[in-house]
Amino acid sequence: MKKIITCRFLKRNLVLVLLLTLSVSAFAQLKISGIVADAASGETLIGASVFAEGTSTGTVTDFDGTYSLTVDAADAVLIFTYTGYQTQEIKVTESKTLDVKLAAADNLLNEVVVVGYGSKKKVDLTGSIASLSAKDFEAQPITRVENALQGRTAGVQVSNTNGSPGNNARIRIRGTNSITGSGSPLVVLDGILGASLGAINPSDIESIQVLKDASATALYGSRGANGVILVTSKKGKDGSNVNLDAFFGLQSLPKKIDIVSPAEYARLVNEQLAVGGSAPAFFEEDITEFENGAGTDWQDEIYREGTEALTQNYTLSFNGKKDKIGYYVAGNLVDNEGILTNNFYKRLALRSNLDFELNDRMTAGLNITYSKEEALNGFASDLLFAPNASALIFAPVAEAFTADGTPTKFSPYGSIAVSPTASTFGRNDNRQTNNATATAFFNWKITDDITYSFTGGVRDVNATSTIAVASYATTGQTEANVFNSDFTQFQHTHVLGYSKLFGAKHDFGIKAIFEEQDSDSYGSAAFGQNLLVESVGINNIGFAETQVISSGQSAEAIRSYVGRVEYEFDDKYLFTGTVRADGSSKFPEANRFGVFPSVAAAWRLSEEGFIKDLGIFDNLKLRASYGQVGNQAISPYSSLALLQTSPTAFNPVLDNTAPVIGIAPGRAANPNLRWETTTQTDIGIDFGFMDGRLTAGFDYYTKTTSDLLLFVSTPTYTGLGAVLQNVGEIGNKGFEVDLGYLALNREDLRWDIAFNLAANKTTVLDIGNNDVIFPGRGFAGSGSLLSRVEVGGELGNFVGYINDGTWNTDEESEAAVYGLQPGDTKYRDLNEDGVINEEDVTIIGNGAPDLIWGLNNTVSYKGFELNIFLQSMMGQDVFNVQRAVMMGTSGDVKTPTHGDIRDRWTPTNQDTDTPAFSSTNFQAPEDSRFIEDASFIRLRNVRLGYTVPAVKGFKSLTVYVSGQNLLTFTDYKGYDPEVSGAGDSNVDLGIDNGTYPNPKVITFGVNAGF
Amino acid sequence: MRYRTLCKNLPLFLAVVFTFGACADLEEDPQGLLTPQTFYQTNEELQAGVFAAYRPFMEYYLNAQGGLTMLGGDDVTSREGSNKEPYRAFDRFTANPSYDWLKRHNWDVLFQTVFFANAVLNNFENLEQSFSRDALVAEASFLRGWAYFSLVRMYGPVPIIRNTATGEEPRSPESEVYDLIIADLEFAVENLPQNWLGEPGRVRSWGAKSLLAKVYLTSAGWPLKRTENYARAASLAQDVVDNSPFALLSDFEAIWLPENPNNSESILAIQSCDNCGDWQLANRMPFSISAEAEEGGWDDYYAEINFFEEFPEGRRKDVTFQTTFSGNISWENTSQAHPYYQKTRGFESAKISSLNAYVLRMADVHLLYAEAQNKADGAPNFAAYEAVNQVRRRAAGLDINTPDADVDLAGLSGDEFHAAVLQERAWELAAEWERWFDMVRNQIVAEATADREFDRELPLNPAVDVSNESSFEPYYYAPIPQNEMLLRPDWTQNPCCM
Repeated sequence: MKKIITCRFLKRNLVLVLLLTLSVSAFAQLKISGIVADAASGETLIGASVFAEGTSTGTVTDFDGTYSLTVDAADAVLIFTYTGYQTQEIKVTESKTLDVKLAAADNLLNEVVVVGYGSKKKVDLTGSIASLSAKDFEAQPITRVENALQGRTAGVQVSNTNGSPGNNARIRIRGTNSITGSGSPLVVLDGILGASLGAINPSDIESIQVLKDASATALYGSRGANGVILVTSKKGKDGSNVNLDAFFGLQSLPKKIDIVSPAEYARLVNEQLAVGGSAPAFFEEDITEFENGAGTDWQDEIYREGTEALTQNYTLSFNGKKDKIGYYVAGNLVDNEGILTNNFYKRLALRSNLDFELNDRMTAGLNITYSKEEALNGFASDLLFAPNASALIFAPVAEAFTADGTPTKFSPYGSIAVSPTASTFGRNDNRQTNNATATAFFNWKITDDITYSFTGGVRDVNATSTIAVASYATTGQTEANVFNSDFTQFQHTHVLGYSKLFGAKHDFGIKAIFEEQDSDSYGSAAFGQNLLVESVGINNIGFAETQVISSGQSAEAIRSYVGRVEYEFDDKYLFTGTVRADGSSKFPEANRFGVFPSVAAAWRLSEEGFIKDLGIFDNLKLRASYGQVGNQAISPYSSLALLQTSPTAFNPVLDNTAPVIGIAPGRAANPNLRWETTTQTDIGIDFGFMDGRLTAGFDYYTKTTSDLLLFVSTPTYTGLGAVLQNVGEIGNKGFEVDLGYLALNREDLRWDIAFNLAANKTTVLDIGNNDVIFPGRGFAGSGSLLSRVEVGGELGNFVGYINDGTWNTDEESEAAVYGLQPGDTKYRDLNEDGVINEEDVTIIGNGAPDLIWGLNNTVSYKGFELNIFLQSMMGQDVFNVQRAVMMGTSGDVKTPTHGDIRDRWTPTNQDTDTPAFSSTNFQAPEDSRFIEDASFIRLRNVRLGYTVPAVKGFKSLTVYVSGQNLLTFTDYKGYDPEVSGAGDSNVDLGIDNGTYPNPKVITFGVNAGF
Repeated sequence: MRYRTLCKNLPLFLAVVFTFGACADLEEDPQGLLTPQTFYQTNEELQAGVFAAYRPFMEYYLNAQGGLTMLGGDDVTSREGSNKEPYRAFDRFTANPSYDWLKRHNWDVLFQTVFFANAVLNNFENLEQSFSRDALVAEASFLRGWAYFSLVRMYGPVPIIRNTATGEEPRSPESEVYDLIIADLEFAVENLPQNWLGEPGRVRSWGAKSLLAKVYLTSAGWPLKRTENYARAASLAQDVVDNSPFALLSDFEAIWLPENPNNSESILAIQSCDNCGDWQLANRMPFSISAEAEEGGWDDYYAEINFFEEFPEGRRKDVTFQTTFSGNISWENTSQAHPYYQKTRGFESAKISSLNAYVLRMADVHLLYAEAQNKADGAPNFAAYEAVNQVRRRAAGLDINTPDADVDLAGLSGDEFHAAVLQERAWELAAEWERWFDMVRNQIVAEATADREFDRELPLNPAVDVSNESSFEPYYYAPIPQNEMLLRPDWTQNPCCM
């Protein structure tokens, strides 16, 4: 018998058998039969499917709802599914009659979600909370948690603003509420506030909830204004399971930028010299040599692909529950080589989650995680020195390496920076971060109505980074720098809960929470310059001729009291009221405590008879909430008067040999600082139709953030610099749509569609006494400020000159008014004063998207599953500073490198915005011709998986191939419309200043359960 | 029953909470930071405050951009293309307020000096009176006076800050700014020591006196025309020439050699350092003003061709200019086809350096004296002739103290002597950021610009006319930086850029 089965198996799965080592064990056959019926009415269900987990063995219930099945294992799990009903899994160990009652599918809404300081049934939610479970993102091979959120939840904008491996994505929930403060949401991992998403292995995650409206976020008071991401890690489940999740991906640069060839470039240099009346730099024989292959394609030189740019991820986990102890233990290894040479990200993450049932009223648990992250050269976003940027501006006529094998340093043509090979190999920036967290839990059911829970956590983040700059890679001296920092955070949280059903219809719940969190940071830095022995580098800074050391300390604490009241009448009318009071050490005593209240109500219309009678809705719920949340937005000691904190910046030299210590005055005391407060109103409606196969959610919200903490510029002559004040106001308005549709649900063919869409508009309402502020940073060689914030404007506005092309030959006299000639750039003279100057600078674009959407399709047929995930942002511009620099507008590049220069003005090519080489031309990087529509639709992930049926030794086995970022539909001319050099900034959006592009990845993976 | 359980357990719950509770400290106690309440309590701390004010003072001189607004002078010009628009614009009289360099390397560092000096001038009273305390206060006074002198020459009326600024200050007229400068420098002259042992970069009484002489001389010209100050300038300068330990070096080249810092001609010089852990402490001029195509420099500014051609032949000319470049390329054949200045970069190219930058040197004081005496008395006296002639003899490579009829000035009228001294200042102090101010205070911009080799230099703003000095008047002052004007829309911009 055994043999026969083995042979049949072999025939069917020969390849797999060859691939996998199978353990051959004894097994028996079980015969199971019974009736499948509706749990509520007891009616039998016709056509319900029954199959054994991990096998293709299955059947369908007949006219009487009966089934009969023979399975091959002693401990098989039978899965019962029926359209519109909840799936049930039942373990069988012996042949028997098994009658099954399936609950109606709307009970899927009985799904319990984490809401912060507890959990709640999804149907009873009054606030706006998006929920993801592991199965929502496990089809996507990701190493970062942010990517699990990307495009899957309406109103959550996740942008990979830098494609370097290991970089943090920029996350905004329902727009931006702050200008100078952080706009990033609060991350709560297993109850500990303030976790680092980058340190978490996505495979360890059970669920992610995103709290969006004020009713949901008010629980987090002064830290809730930017929304809250609750991450819950996996726990031990019944049985004993081993899972291996492994994939590797081949990465490549999605596209190349059009750059002139070495020969073309040499001719351009000559042409430019001729305009200045100088002799040519290249002779015809030089140019012939370039045509025959001399010179360098710098993009080919520094980018790598395929197996040279390999990304690998392995997670091995053990979980189970035995007696009263549950465990989940996992190890994760990520090794992600970048597409840029000499660039990687690595992560080792370990997790041990244990939980104990102490008795029938008490449970306790301990979660311990450790992660070590290391990134090499992944952080540069620099127009001149980042290799990816310098590859676009460095002279194509130069060679990559000198005769002795060292990278080329300079070229007299092109960029003023060092060569791409010099920055690739000669500027090494290594960052290591160790993150250890231990969290203890204790839950006590004091009475049937009263519960107490305790969460205590300690988190330690220890970071070391080193920077070494070789002599061939700097315009100055060799450098070796080391930075060390240590951050320790403690938290303890106490939740006392009371809940009781009075009569049959009045359901009351009260929670009182006390929480404290305090943290300490200490950092030190050692900086060495002019290294005696360059090869020793960072390993002994003592060999540096010049040494500078510094250190710093900071501490902060927050104490909080939270109360929440919940009331539910007849499962129809739901009410939630929350108040949180936070006291923060960052604020002076008078303003120390902030109180953040919220209320929310919901009406489950679908429970009303008149709606039930319509027979349309499985679920219909109206929600409304209003509340206030805060943002601390400032760093410790911001309210105190301080002398300058920089240890060396004010040291002069008075004897040519060594600096002496200078202490300069700094900012004045600022006793009036308070919290930024965001007031949010949300109205939402949730629908369920067609037995739950079609669900929809719609939310509309408005938010106003007042007391915005802004660095108000004082005139420079005051010496006070920018003074932090609570002066501004900013508004956000938007809507969100979520749709889920189970389009097909046949026995072996299933098609799930999930779609979400959100639009948000951020408007600046008040910035104090000013009409205009420039809180952004400078870009391009001259440090031009590209972003301007003004009352009535949107965040992310770009300013610059409007480019009307070039002056043509019959406009010679008009051009002369500006001291220009035909072929020069024609900027619009807005005030018509005959001069092009800063008064002609105006808004020329905006970097914030109007609309973001995601569309996820999953089609499964038998063991195959195809997932196609599209993500899109629309309506945003990118300021292509990189191209502006390549075109020579910033002065950092002598001769333009971008292919657009071929289209430069000539008397026979006058209809162009690329000016001729000219001694009279005035051009600036802040020019509307470099503003590009960066709307994109991206094939974020496409994955074809195959679940191999019943392999001996495996509980489950899935193999897949997947592609990320395979296609991007966009008009953007740069590498990647999604990047932005300003990373997490709230005001500098969509600025491509030599930013690392997101790679294209082809991934092969396997998920195996044992 | 349940309630009894609750009551029984509640004290335990409260005990747990309050045991852990209130363990976080909400009072801030910065441990690595200094606050003004606890600082400036000893002479050493006050001195650290003074030292901080030297930093922006250094920064101003170690960057070519400090000379940005002086490109209107006939001694310097810049190139087409590259990132030199701000330099070009000042050279062509087309400047506008938006240049970042105008703000960062001029307005900002000068007002930062004021701000830092004020911290000392407003906090020294914590300390008991002593000579050493007052010397420190005098250093701060000097630096504030120097900063305002630079500001008023560049921008004209500027806000006066003596304590904490409110941000509401008006632009005070030049007369009030000069009153402040003179008061600050007089205090400095009185209270500074003759020497700071081992710290040649700190200003001494002679330095304050020399600067005060220059302030008086400048205030006697445009715009204040306080002509009574010529005599004051003359008397202070004469004191420095006659009584100070400083003297002209015998060889013009020796002034500029990097290996000869703090020589006897050096009254006050910035002590830069290229290996002090911060490149901003190094002198960047060898990068800034050396030839880009030929030597890897930055071409920030170089000599105007007519100025070079008119420059008297001799030792001084050979030292001042670089005319041949690697591979024996002569300046006419370089990429920019202009001679370059080499003296103020210590003959170095494309590097950062420990070269000192002069704030005040003896030849300047000699010529100040000659100009002031002549103007004060209506005719030059012997000492004035001797002061200028010593400079001329050295320029020709002759012995300073041996009269030479071919070189010496003699027998000139007051006006002729004045013109000759101004011209001498132009040669002697070429590219030392003096010429433009000499041209403005004497209102000879048109005259000096008329000799420009128009076909080999950048085109001038069509609004200026070299036969009409008043057409240049709107360009005497640089524009107030754009960002400052945005924050003070109530101010009136300078005439160049209204």
